[in-house]
Amino acid sequence: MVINALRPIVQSMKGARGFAITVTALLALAPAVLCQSHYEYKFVFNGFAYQTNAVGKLASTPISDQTFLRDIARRGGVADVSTISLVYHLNGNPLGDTIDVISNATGQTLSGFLGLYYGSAGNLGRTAVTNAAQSSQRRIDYIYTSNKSTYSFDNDDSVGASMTIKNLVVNNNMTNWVISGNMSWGVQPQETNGPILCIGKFSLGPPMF
Amino acid sequence: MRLTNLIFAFLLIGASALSAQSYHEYKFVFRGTAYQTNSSGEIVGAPITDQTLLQSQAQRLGITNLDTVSLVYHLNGGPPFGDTVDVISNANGQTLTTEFGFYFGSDLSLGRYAVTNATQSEERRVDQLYTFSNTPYTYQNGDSLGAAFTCKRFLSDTNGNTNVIVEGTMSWNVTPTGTNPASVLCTGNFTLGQPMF
Repeated sequence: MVINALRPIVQSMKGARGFAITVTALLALAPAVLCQSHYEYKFVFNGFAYQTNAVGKLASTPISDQTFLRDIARRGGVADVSTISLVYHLNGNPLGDTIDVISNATGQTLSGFLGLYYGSAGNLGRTAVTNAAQSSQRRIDYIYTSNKSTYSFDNDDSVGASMTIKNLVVNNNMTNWVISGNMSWGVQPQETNGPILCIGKFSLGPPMF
Repeated sequence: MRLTNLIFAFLLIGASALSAQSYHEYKFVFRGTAYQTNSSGEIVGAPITDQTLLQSQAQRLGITNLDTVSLVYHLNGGPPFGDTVDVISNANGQTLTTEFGFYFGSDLSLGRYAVTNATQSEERRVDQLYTFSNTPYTYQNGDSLGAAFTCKRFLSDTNGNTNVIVEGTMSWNVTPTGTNPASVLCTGNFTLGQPMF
């Protein structure tokens, strides 16, 4: 549903994972001059969407974070795309980080796009590689989609994966996350589209909230 | 005349069947990096290849002569789930152990779809990676431990031979076990080498 796509989502911040808890603790213990409170950064993505075209060929189309944002905005009836952003949301869900569409004015999450979950779930045999200082991490996150758009659909199982690199960087007394990676995920046939497979690289842009 | 044509057609089909050869196992060529936290507490990357993976499995199996075995990409090696990467005997093609399962990349019950062209000769898919044994680069686990973005092409020549090109990127993690002191995360690119069986 188009309206549902932009229905505000209450995001629980409970259940932060060990890595985030440790980093938070480290920050609390850091000298008072260190400032860090950002949990949402612009999500920068560049990649390709593979799809079978009208003549039966497998064709790729360049896609970016703006492709996703415009598509979700169009479906939600948001005419002015400059009022919203696609962000990487640290601990956007108790299961992990998320990629969300937010209001630039308030930071309110308007719609979820991707969930990056279970990258360090010991009960599933999945462990991230983390340095001793807990400031750097490499992990394989499983991609979940829950809202319908051209590049996502509602599905209970993971539809792809992300090889994610996270670094906590201190610069000019500010701490910031530097996160990047490669991700790929699939989309089931819907509306007039056949299956779509997306692949690309992502990184973080400016902090938002 | 019609009978002659029929016989000619049968001969052609027979000749084609005799000359046509399709392989189901190709050498698995991998280049990548294994990330691990070292004794100083830093994450470091070490280069790994298909030979690194083969050696670690050979060691587990007690095989000292690596010339007798190969790491291969096995088309439909794990039915009904998907392809596998196996260690095989070069002498007879027997599968000695399975390194990876490339599973559930087009399982509609899980909402996972491959993208395929109309002639079914090209496919792109996200496969879930499974590992089945404990080595420095694999971990025996019931759930998937990574994923591969896989591109498959099936090329047929005029003699009816089908050559398969499979390539992609893959990442998987390894939980500490036995002599593995810390988690390992491997990532890299793979492709197929020469056909084996």
